Amino acid sequence: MFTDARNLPDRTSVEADLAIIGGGVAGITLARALAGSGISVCVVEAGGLKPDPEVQSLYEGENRGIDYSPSGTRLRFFGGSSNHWGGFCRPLDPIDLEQRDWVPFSGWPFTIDELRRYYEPAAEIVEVAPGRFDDSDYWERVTGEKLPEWVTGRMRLQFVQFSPPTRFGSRYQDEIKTAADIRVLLNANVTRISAGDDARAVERLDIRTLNGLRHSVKARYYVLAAGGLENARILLLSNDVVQAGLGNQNDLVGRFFMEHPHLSGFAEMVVVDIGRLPKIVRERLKAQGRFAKAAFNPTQSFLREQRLLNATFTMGVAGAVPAGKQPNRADAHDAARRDMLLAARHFLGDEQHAAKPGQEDDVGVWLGIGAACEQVPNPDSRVTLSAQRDVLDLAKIKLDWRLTEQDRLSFYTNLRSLALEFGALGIGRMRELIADRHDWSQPVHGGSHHMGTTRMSDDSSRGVVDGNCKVHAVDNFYVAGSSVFPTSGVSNPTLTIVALTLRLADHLKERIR
Amino acid sequence: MNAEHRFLLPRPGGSGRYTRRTFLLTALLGLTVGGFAASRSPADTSPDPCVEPRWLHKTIGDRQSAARIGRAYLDLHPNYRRCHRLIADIEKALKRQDASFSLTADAEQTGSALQRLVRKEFTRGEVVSVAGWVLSGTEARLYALTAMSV
Repeated sequence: MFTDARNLPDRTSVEADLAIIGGGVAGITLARALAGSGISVCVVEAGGLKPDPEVQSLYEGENRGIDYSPSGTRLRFFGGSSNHWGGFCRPLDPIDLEQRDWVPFSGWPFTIDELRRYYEPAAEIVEVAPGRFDDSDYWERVTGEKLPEWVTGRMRLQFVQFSPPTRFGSRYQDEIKTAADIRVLLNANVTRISAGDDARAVERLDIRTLNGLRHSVKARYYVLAAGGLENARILLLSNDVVQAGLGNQNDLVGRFFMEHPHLSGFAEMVVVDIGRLPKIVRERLKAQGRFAKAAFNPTQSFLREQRLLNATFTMGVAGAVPAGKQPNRADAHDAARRDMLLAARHFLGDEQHAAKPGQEDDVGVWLGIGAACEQVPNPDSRVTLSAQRDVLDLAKIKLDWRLTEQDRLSFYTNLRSLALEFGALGIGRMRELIADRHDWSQPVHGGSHHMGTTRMSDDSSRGVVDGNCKVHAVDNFYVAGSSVFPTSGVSNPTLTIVALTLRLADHLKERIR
Repeated sequence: MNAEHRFLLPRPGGSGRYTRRTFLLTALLGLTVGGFAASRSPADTSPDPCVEPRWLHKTIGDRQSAARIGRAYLDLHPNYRRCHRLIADIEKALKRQDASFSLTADAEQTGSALQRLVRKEFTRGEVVSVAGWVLSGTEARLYALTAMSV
């Protein structure tokens, strides 16, 4: 059932077994997972069923760090940020969850095995099942192309599968509408999570609407699932009992904000014979009704040996490199590519794929390279409250996203590994276009992945929530979503958000019964 | 500074290099590569004439293109502006791959051995950056040798 909170009588109090703050990927997944379990659920969604500029403006905030839009990287309506999701799906790698002595604050409370059993149902929810994320044999079989056997031990191919993408708000709307025990309050802004005097339990949610009404939701259990930025904001705003904010006794809420730094235009690859690079490496392929693309990731052994952060690289053909007796000096890049391809012809072929002679129209192709990186958890990269206020007179967020020298060096080392693999196989040559290795000389963007602000650790001095995603020292209060990720890995977070939420649902079913 | 030395200094906006005339003159002198290399002291930084080894043809694609990259390498490593040093280093790398290998071997064999060596150097991470290109060390020196021979 959907109810618009703006149409309820003022000061309505809604009751349920479980209140979920946020109707995005985590909130909808949790509600669906609990449907039919006998647990009544109230989803409190700040937006409506469609985008609304006035509602969206409540996501605006102040930015102090790397150029970033607090409003443009998330959506405040039912379905949340799945409404602009690109559909990239990959599980985390085992190493991403490990405590690594070269990555400060790393280590999840459990290993990848704990998530593995949830990844397959998660893949069904985001409509990519069955997941074939590491199955080279499968992709060779269905694409009919043999994948290169990488030789340096530094890089490997993994596979990204693409969700349609699933827009959770529309895809699962009817199901939620007809579920007997799920109620969705729309246009209901949670202004405070109200805890008892000892802050050991949440007692109610205070809600306001943009037409001036005030309501409340009372439940036995509460789950905060409003996204990686808003989760921190709501906790920090809930400061009537704990001055620093609910769950923030150890000054961790909002800290450790992580993104996946995305870079482009930092390097390119030239190859003589594009046929040596299977299509799935250079373009998104449809096979057996599903789309996938191969990505280059460092091997786990190489990450350990070199003490690196994770990274992923994808490639796409950017253009042909035309032949020409005299390089066109007007286009220095083209001339450089042509020189490289012509000079290295004998190195860029093998017996099966003899390098073509240089008389054709084109001497080869060049490929653009995209990268997304893991960043080290950094307490100074953080979300705090701004002095600026929104239309509900609530403090906006102040975001200060920061990267470290370790992040940069790790990226460069991983990038160099890509050049080595292509050189070792005699497939191509890479050109680094980075002017200064001591700075992010190319623009760094985020992937609209907000992680780490309510990090998970069984040690309350290192985490806001424990291994079950329960807020430390608050008995009936949980957090869902990528804000609980202690480290980010390099995979797009949606699939893991869904898997982790299914795990939380199992825990809550046991606990609430 | 003697005339030869002056001739080989980098020119404004470009790198020091041999002309075709120099190349032909040295070829006429009949200097063998191995013999020449052996006659130079490793500490000797003076430039030397360059005889293009036959096997270079089997290794390099387009010579003009290779030479342009080679010049960029020589700009970064001016101490390599000596054929004997380049050839000695290439030979040393080949011998590390196969102790019995000799640059006097058949040009085809040398070309194949160099291909294997270049790939191996990528595998081992023995690379240099030249104008942004990530090249194997030997590959870069082959381009440099070409630059000094065209």
